[in-house]
Amino acid sequence: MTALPVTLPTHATTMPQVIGESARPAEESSCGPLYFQIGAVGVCVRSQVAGLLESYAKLYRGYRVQTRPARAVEVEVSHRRMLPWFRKHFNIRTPGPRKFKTRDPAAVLPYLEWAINWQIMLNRPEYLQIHASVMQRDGMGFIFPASPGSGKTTLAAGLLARGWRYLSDEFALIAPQTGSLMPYPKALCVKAGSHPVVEELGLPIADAGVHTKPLKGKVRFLDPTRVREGAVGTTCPLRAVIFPKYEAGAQPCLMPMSRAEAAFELNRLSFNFLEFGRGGIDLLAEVIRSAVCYRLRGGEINATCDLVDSVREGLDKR
Amino acid sequence: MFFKRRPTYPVKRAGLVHHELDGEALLYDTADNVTHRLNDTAYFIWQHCDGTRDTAELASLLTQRYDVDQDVALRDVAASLREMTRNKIVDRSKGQVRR
Repeated sequence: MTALPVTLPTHATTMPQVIGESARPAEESSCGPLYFQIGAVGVCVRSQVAGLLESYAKLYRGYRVQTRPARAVEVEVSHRRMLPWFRKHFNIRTPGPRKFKTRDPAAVLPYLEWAINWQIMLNRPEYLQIHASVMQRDGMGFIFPASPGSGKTTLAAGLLARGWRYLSDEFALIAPQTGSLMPYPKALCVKAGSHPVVEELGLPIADAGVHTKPLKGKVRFLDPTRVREGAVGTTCPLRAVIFPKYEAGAQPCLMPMSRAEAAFELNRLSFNFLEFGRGGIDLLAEVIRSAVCYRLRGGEINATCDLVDSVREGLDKR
Repeated sequence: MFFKRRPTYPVKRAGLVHHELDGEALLYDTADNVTHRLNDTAYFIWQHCDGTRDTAELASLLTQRYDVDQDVALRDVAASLREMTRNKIVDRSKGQVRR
């Protein structure tokens, strides 16, 4: 018998810290702002770097709007050369003191995404934010919370290829009033190690440009709207919480966990739990009551997705 | 001459929000902004920390609820209370002292 309580003294956040570096010529121009409504999140992007806005607008063409969305997060990209013979810096700025800087043109788009994520963390406190990928099937919301490198995005891609609908590969945004999951269907950021897997799934990633993401290396962005019509999900209730952990070569395995343990882990993986205080624990306890909870040891993608499908089938029977 | 340790009567700390989830519990300390998870036995012990029961009495309650020997229960309750005290979810000094 074990009866020991478990304590959670800190709250994990995942923030960008490393500035990428490489050299390639960059074109110059000035344009923007462009506006996007990406699910529940409005985005305003300005850029002096030619080609960047076009790349971003191409990736998010389905979300482009003509007028500024309410409470849009803002990011501006500029470039600067300290002296004529120095290489150019790209500054990715957000309102406030935070600034990202890189010299690598191939890292600018990932940094722009990072900066937007950062702004969401800071500027959308109305949602309880959890570091998770979010998928939807038959109107039921599944979240896959995990630390970076656990296989969230690859699993989301695998489920997307099977007809699941995509809500996010970064944020589970939980609305406190309803307990619903809000979509933020940003482009899936697929790391180099998963490119062959995602291509094999038949998802349109082969023609996507290769970018450099700090800490993650080479990445490609997968536009979910290109997968098929209706691939992007909508606001839905949470029905399953599955904590994935990819282990190369492992036999995929699903392990039930208690709701209290799952809620405790969600707390740990929340970006803004502390801002909610008591409301956060009330909300987590409320939404977890209607969800099933598992740990998932992930391996080969199809076998792993089979297990997730089996959870969904179990929910159908309830 | 040996000192005999005076029994303490642990009491749940005030200011803790708790939610029961399938027999387990989530506790949230509003003062320190710390979350705790208690499994079913820990939650059972914590619930009965009302300042009127000492470790032996809590262990007796545990034996009634679970299929466990008194010795094992006593050891587990003592370990749990140490852990709960360390994590500031029970207070052992504020319990009622019975004479």
